[in-house]
Amino acid sequence: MALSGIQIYKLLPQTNCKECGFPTCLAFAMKLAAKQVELSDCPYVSEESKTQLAESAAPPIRLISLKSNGYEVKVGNEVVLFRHEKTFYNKPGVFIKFSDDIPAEEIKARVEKADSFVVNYVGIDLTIDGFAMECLSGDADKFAAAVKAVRAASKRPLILLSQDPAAIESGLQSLDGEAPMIYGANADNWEKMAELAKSHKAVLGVTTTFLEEATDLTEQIKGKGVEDIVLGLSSKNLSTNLIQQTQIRKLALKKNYKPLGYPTITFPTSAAEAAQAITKYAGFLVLDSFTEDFVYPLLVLRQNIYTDPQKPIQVQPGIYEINNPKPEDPVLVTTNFSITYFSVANEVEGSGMPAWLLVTDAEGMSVLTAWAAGKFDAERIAKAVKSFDVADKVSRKRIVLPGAVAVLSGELEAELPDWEIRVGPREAVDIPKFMKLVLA
Amino acid sequence: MDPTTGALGYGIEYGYSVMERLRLAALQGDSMTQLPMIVTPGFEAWKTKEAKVGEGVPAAWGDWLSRAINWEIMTAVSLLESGADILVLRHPESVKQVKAAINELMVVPERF
Ligand code: SF4
Repeated sequence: MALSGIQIYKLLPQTNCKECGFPTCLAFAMKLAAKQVELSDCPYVSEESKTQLAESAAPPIRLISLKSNGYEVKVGNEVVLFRHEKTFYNKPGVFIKFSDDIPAEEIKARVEKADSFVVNYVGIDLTIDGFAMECLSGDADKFAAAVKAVRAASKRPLILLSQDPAAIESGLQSLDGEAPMIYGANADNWEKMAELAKSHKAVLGVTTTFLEEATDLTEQIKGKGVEDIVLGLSSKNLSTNLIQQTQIRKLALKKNYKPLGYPTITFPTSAAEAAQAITKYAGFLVLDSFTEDFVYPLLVLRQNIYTDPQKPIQVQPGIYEINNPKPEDPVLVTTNFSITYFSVANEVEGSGMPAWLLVTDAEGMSVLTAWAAGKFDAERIAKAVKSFDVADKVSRKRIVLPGAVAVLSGELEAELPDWEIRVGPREAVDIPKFMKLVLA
Repeated sequence: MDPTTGALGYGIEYGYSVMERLRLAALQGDSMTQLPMIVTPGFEAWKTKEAKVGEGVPAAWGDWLSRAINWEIMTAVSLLESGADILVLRHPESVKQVKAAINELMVVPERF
């Protein structure tokens, strides 16, 4: 169980030497209890205290990181069952699976296509995280060649899928020195798989049908000195998967149950399974094909569920083009609170009329709140017009203020003397009508 | 009761968490919240640009029809996971897949 600040304090040197950057050991202990600092910041903790603290401080769900060529996927280390209790921290990794029974050239082409996929959502570039290669050929050499083909086409992290240690070994060898995930260890092959994971510093996925088996396996594997483990339960349906994922998360968090304190890996084959995996605790999602129309909504869902509920979600401030605007089209202004942005953008979009949408940095507040807080005023709007070079984009300088802040129009005229200032409607729903009647 | 939720990409996370909180409160005995929840993912999802617009959108958005249907299914299943009791859908394919998901979720496994 996690120790309190006072309990931690008792294990510290209590000399108040300040080297950790805090005035007292107690202050440092409090920060440590809140998991805001690392124990290693104090150079004087005794070995004995270290072991004691490490055990209690180890996150209930182990943090697993898959790295390659500057890419990193971090999962685990979650602290709540429901996102409103705090937030979900590490987004599950989305991997695309291919198998070694298709020609190397085709593997490369398909991997390249998925690798280059990028879609912009509220100013964030969404991409997939990596690739999985499955050994279906039963031929270790073929598998190694297929793994090489993937690596030639993408630098992202990899998962090697086979329950045959010989195939996994040759796959690992073809990746010289990399530490991918290998999947999976079962009741029969686990010793060999654990050895491979250890010698290649790979993350080891276990594959079982029931939770009890998973518990036994992770204990055995840990006994061999492998700690970077991922849990794979081959659930036959949404119901079993939901129960298993929830039990794993619950036992790890509420009971600090170590044998299941690892992230999970799932293999969704439908939109429903994928949505369940995102909302209910999967650490990795391995998809058996790549299509944009599936991956795009999935990555957006992941983004949504993993936003911090305590922080307003913000849109990147900037000038957004809606319905392919031309220089003569109007500029509408709003704030960067995501819901505000969405409602405005959606209505402008729906009007079918082209416009420029200027999103100002109002620290994620809605129009009225930001105005009241002094984060959305004439000065800030004028600054946004300048910093996003809006004047260079339009020939007719027309700017539309949200109706709720009509009072700003005088000041804005002073700030932007060569602009025509218009006052739009108070509510986003009235934008299409306004655009048709007033701006057309 | 209708917790009024947005679509995927358009604030779904607010509704998602409101519903989880409502359901947790109901299970703890708060009678104000002990009503079934109705949601309208069909209407919400098909209001989005991603579902409505097929031309002049980034190629990375993929096939229009499948994208729109996936948008609706993922919106619906997320709300289902957070406690929805009645889901109002729009496209027949979404109805089919969400129904199948509900049937699967209602099975009580003997062992897990
Ligand atoms: S560095 Fe260690 S001993 Fe020094 S004040 Fe910080 S916690 Fe105390």
